[in-house]
Amino acid sequence: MLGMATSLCLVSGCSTGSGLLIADVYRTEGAYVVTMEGFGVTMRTVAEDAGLTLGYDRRSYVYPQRINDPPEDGRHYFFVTLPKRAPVAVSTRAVGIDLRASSVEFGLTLGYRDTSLIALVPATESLYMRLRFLPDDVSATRLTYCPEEEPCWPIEIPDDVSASR
Amino acid sequence: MLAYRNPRRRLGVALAVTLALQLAACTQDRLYVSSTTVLGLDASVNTARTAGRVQLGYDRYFVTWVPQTVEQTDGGREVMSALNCTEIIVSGLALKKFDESLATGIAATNFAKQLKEESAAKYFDCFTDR
Repeated sequence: MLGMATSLCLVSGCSTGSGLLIADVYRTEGAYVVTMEGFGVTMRTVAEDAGLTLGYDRRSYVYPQRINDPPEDGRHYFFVTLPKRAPVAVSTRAVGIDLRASSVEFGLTLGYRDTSLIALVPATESLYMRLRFLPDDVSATRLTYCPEEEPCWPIEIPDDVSASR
Repeated sequence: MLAYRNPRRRLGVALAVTLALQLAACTQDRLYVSSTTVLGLDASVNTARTAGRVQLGYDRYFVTWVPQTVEQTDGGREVMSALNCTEIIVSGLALKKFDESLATGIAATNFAKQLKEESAAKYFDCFTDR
């Protein structure tokens, strides 16, 4: 069971573990928020938050609502598949041994660690985003995410000034 | 092949492959704002800053990472444009609220040139008093 879940993780990007993993998917104002609580061993393959935790961890990923593969609403146990695109925000809280090998940092913590990565956007993108995120009340998350190719009403990016890219 | 019949070794191989994939996929071309609080023993290397830290005890730090240059479609590189307002509320050991307004690229350039006008400033709370 764990081997199958691990294999799926490697292919699709997810969180799984040999302990208890409880995940909740919220659809909030402009965002999908996936919150996971893990007890025991939890492994993550999301590039921005890859690693392994032994102990307790609570992690939240925020995705724009307009994505092709939204996560399934509701509660999930032991395994949750995440969207292919990168989250725009990652919040983590871990107690125990936390090993990280993400695209942002490599590290090891013995003890407590609380980290939030906000506005994870590719340097080549032209966009406007506004994110209000409360880690302890993720259902109150509000996100406005307007990439250049998807101008979203009522945001009107002032464009009457010519500027070279 | 016998080694793969051992579930522990299989998990170890899967984990090693996972970490290797992450190392191979490591990129430094993303903008981000981060807040970190640690209590205990912590060692980390930030791939973007290529800087490391080892500490024992308590620490809290904030980082805003803006890539210095971005690759253009013609293969050249230009300085990245970014305009942002960040509001953070921290209580005890945990972050309580993060409110971020951000524009990048040409959107940032255009917003910056028109911040004196209410229509543009309203998207960035920290400029609304201008």
